Amino acid sequence: MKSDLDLKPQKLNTRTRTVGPDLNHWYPVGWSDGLKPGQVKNQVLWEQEIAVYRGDNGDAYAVEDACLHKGVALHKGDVQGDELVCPYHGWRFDGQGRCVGIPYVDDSNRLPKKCLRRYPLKERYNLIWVFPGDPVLSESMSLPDVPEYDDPDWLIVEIPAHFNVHFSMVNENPLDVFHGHLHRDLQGWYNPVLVSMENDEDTVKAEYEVTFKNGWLPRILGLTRSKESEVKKRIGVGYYYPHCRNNMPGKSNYYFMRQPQGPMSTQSYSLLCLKIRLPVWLVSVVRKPLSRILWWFLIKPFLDQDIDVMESEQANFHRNPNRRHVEINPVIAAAQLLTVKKYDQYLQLQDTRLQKTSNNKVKT
Amino acid sequence: MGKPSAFSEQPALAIKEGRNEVRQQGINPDFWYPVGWADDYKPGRIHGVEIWLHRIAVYRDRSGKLGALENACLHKGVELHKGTVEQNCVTCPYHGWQFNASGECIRIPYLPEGQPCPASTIRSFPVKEKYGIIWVFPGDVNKAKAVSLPEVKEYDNSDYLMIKIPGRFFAHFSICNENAMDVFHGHLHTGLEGWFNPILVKLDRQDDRITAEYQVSYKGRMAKFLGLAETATKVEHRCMDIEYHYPHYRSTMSTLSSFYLLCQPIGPKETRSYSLLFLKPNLPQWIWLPVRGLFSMLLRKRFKRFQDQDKEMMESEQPNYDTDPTANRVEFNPAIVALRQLMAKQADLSDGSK
Repeated sequence: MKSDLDLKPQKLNTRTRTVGPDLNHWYPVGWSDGLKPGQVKNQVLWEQEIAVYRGDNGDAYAVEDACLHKGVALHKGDVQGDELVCPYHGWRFDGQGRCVGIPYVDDSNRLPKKCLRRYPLKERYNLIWVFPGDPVLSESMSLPDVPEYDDPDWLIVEIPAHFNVHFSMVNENPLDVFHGHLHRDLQGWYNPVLVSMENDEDTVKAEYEVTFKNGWLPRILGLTRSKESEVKKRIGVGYYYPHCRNNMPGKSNYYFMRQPQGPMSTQSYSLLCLKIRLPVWLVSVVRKPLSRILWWFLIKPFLDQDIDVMESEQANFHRNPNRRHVEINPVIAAAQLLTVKKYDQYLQLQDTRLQKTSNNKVKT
Repeated sequence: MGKPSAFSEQPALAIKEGRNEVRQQGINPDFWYPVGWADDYKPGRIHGVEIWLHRIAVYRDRSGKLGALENACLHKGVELHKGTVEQNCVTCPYHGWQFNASGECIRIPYLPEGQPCPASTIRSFPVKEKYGIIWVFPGDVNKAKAVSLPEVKEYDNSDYLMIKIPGRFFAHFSICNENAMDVFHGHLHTGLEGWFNPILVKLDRQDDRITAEYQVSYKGRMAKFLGLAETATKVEHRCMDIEYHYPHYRSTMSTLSSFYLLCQPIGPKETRSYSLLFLKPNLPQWIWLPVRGLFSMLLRKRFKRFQDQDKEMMESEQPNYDTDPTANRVEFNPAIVALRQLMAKQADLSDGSK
């Protein structure tokens, strides 16, 4: 659906900053190489505490982070073989959440039949993905597609970030290219113009035209050449619920993967894919260090500015949730609408499920 | 030491027991409150300040004019003190929206030519500069003109040495005001050659002010230097006049010294103060006037030792109040009881106007 591109005061949904995420999606909970065999870590997905661990054979699992017995956090325990062992009484659980051993119960038939909740888990793009919603739906939902990831022409920069901010504010940041003002001292982009926008059930997409001024940063990214004083480029942004994307065709693709942890806490695992003109053998050698250097010089200064203003936005929202705001960018209005709609759909689905199960109980 | 006979109606020190409910009351916002020293407001700088839960961005534009705006951008609510002053307007750091001193949005950098800015505004506050202090009026704008600042008549009088003392207390403003009003706490400052043997000789209550007169005694070399005692060894009695004219405080000792405590209540457990102390050193003026900066610095250090002792007491009072707000406390000084009634009445006035 094509939309009106006028920059005029938009109708905003006042619930945007208070809704939860639609949990029937895959969410990242950490870098794969950050979880070594035998390690267990606590992760939070919208206030659900999850123990993510990797067995000695290399497979990762995600279960509810509370022992069946007394509710002690299982990430305080340890991994033995492929099993997670509670630190308190030594109860053992497998990756499916089944209790497979209690040190002081000899007869395995007498072990509790009740299971820990387990979460479907996948590993892709060096990320651990967990499905916090209805496990039945996990099969039908796909991970974001990052075709550049396995292409040697692209350099992948991994960008972790933490924001003490509601996920809607975090997502609106890359969608609103008009915030170039914030980064004006970092040779960011200038004079953004919204040129197109479309949205459907699951996405909001838009295109902006921006100006890059000549400087070392745009030059090493191949955006400007030494003779040109400035150059106009198109930036595409997309809200592919619940994650975001940002791209400059043939130059870069920026994937923002979000882990909404709670109403004022969002973790982000982003992948910046840069097309570079280096020999493949060299890229494979310098990939990791180059990625760190780029993170430090290219990403962090921008990220620090973004975090500062977003946390200020959140703080003022927290102090007065009823303050009326004005938004003139239709892309942001559409993104807020999608955020709220997805949550309402999720709640509706939950309701119908609950009704079905209670009806079934009545029948039996 | 007998009762001074000049005063027939010496107020009695009577026991008053009860909860200190005033510790939970707010301010009457229809007054001017100090938010900072004027020297710190350089052209082009924005400061984020607070007056009783109002968060305000106060700035001085390049032409020297002051402005005060609600510290939240109209767009996304980002704090404006993180931004910049451009073309005499406050510019939000995030998307560059600009606001004039009336809180109107006058420019959005990416708005196509010919399109109007949103008509909504952010709140602006009356602001002014006097006595080297920036003042903001957080209440009803229409009342600002009629409300005057405290009068500091010693300011700009070269007979006096002025000492500026900032203070920050993690305590409710009523605790800070009571400290200043209760001259009986001379005990705390015994080691610093403060005043001693205080006697409350007069107390007068009005709707918006309390005046009290204490007789205090001074002795020692410091007192002599400050003109409070004639010799270092003899005890000198002095009359201390106190006026708490809501929400600020003044105490004077005839023409020898004056002390102004200008109070910025930040929130239920934090108060800032800007104090001005005026003294006449017991030295010929040609000696101290050329080096008054140095004198003022040394005396500030001296005074700060008093304030540090006070701060410690107040910050001990507050957490004990928080632990049990219902605890009964005992008060003897009628000036403090009157002060509490006044603060409570002013807080009610502001509730009533809402």
